Amino acid sequence: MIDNHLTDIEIQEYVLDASQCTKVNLDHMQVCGHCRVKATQYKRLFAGIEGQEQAAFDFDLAALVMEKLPANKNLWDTYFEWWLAGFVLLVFVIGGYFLRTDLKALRSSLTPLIFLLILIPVLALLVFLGFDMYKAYQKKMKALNFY
Amino acid sequence: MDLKFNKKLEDQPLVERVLHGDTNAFQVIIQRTEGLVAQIIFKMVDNKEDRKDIAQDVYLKVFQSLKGFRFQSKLSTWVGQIAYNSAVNYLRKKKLVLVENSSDSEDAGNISLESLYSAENGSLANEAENILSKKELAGILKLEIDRLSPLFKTLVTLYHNEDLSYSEIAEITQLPEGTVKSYLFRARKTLRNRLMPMYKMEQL
Ligand SMILES: [Zn+2]
Repeated sequence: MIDNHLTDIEIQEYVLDASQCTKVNLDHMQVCGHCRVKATQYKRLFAGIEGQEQAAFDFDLAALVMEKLPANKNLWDTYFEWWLAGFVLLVFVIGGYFLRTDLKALRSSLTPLIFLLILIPVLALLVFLGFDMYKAYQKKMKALNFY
Repeated sequence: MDLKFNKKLEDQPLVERVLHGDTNAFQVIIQRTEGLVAQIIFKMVDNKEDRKDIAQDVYLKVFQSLKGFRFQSKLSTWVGQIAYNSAVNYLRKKKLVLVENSSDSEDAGNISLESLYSAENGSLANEAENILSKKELAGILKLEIDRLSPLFKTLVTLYHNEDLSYSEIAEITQLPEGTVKSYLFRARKTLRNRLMPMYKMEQL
């Protein structure tokens, strides 16, 4: 009669990877019928688990997900905002160049106080609109994030 | 798309293609990882319709968070982690238990297995000489795996069916590696004890 049988954990380890077992345990496994029966049961169990039918979705998951994604972007779409900003800037520069004499006349005909009274609200309005657009964009992006 | 090329494509260039707006590359990511996602969702979620919704949400979430993926793990492990978290959230919402208390003891398992037998197949429990077919054994094993808690089922599947290491499973479930190991030992022991009468019935 052999005492000190291997624990279940040790037997599982023996079945999964005998090379990790201690020599004492390996020697025990050689001579102990009780532990060998247990090991065989574990072996059969693992083979049984590995032989189980694999879970698989019975629908086309990729197709379902792809439907919900934004359409394929090309380079033009990706950089559209930058193209647009560049174009607007270009219009301002060209416009400013052609109207430079008129603008100069306008600037000299206005007192500095009136000029600032026009310039400051215009800049403030632009900043406000820009910030508002950015916030709306952030909100839309957040709405896309669930969980 | 060329399939051979897809298989060879590493995680990083694939992710970069998606981030540059090539959504077709995302399809490759889905095809590569949906097996693992299916294993996790099937083990954690019983309802068929909910599985479908969760699976889609997993990949929309992956798509949204891809920017934040830092390649510290395999892409599949990261996707598995998102799938696992989504399933845990689902269980939480449904107030279902992820791991049952250890009252799910091995002895309790034997008793219910016997009752399962007498209920399903009258005299089977008494006929030791009645050798079960492989198919029947596989069916019983499936029932027994299904009776484990969602977490135990998932761990067993990830280790034995998906061939993941303890550390990869720890990453997916965000549990310490030692906990993963000890849960797995417990799950296997429970299964062995519950199935012992079957294995004894057959000549070992
Ligand atoms: Zn022994």
